[in-house]
Amino acid sequence: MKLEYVLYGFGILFCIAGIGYLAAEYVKYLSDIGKIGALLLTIGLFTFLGKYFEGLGW
Amino acid sequence: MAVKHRNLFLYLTLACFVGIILIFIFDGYMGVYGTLTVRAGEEEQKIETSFWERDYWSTVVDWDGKSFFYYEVDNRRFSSYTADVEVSVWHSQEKVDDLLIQPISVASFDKVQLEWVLDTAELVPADAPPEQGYEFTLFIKRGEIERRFVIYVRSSDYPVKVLPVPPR
Repeated sequence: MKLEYVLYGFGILFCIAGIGYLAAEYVKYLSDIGKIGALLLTIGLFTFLGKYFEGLGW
Repeated sequence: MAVKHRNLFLYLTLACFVGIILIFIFDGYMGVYGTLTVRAGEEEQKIETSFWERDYWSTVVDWDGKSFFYYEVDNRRFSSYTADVEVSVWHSQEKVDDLLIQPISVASFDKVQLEWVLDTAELVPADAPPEQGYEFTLFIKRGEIERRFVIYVRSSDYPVKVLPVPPR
């Protein structure tokens, strides 16, 4: 049971790392306004996600 | 009520994610793009901006041959774009000739195409041995952006292999 969670953890980490790498590659080609917009939305995304998990009782 | 509130945060999270993707798509489309099309002999190459940024490109021209260049500037912005386009030919770090010097003004979401011809008969020095071939570098400067394109002039006595006729 615990091993499954470890594997899930690895899977999630690899997914986040992969998406992060692709996003970092793409961000190089964004304009400055696009970078600021994407940064603000990323902050909003993690804030609202945190609030959602807070509501779940995490 | 608490569930509704919680779901609202989830929807806002999704909205932020969709917003990021939309910025990526929109920002990737916007900008000023230069596309070069080269026709030399029977060959045609089209070099888009995204390819050109990573490498330099080349073509092969026959001795005394001509190559035709079409440079398209695509302005995908809400404002007009003005720049000076300078095309020059270089050999061994020395400028041989200016092929084009032209200011351009492209309206918002419009395109402009420039054309020029590179005639190797005019550019290759008369004392250059035709059996050795020759090389030029074409510099295309648009505002701050500079691209280079290498032209290999094929030697005139390039061996043509004749296939033997099989015996009957």
